[in-house]
Amino acid sequence: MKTTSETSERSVIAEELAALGEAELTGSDPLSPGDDLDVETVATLVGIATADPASLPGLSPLAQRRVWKRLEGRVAAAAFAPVVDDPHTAAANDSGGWRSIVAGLAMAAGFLLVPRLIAPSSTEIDVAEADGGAMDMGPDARAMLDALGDNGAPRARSMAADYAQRLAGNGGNTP
Amino acid sequence: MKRWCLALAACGVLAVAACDEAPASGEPDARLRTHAVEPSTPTPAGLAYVESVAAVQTEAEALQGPARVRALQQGMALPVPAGLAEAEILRLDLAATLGEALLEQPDGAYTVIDLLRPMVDVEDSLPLDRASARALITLGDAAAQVEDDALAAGSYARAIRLMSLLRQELVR
Repeated sequence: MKTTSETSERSVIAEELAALGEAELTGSDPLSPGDDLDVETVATLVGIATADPASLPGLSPLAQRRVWKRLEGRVAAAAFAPVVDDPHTAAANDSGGWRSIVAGLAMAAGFLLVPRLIAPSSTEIDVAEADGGAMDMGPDARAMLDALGDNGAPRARSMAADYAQRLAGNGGNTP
Repeated sequence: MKRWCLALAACGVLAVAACDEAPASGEPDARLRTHAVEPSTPTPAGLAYVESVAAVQTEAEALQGPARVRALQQGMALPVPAGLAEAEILRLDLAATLGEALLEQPDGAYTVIDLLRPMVDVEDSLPLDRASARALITLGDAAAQVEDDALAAGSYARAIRLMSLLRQELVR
């Protein structure tokens, strides 16, 4: 037996599918009242960033299709007309935990993409490895670290030289 | 699949860690507290230590295997002069170098965890410096080798958070 809110949700989805030119919602389609289209959209974008969208958890084929249609719609709308969001989709969620995980994914994707964009060629991510193993946090973290500067012997020598210079300067506080 | 689970755990931790609350037992702990290391007043004893560490790191560069490990362990045993704030960074970087050398040894991962885990304990404040990130990443690598996914995910997440903070500092 469907609840009033579920019926309402299905009605909204049916209208949305009709507007997108998609097939009608069937009784076998899963409906998760906690799903949030914005969350799903972010999750899909993260999937793109990690080069492994197929491994994203919690996205049914219908949800993935809705996300892509939403993205396509936004691109098209941005080109021809202002976009008006449906306030219902933004408000209808109670998925705080899932949202925080996806927020974490988005953060990590951002962190991982930054060194790919700015790191010198010697620290570029191994594309073949990324394709084979989704995300490998260790090598990516190392790439970020390398982009920050020297470590180990070169850095120790640099710090020693700096310290000696400061001592020679009668204890100045220059870092 | 395992890598994906590890990455997902680390990513989730990144979000949760913003609250810096202790996680449930067995889950990744990505709490992070940092402090800036201000340059200390230079002294001859301080210079001797800093130059000794640089010499050890340079010597280790030319060595491999157990000889490299021994040289770096001797560096870790050098007494630190009082009031040398920079020693915190130098020791973390030295420990990370030692950890990387140990990871190339059979069963070295457990030794690395014993070495680095107390140095970058979640309860302690870490220097806001890339040496801390390097030590955390090395700890994460060791944990991943022994399939301690919670420690690996937590360590990588802390390293990424710390490097993010560093980037923000560099931008300012």
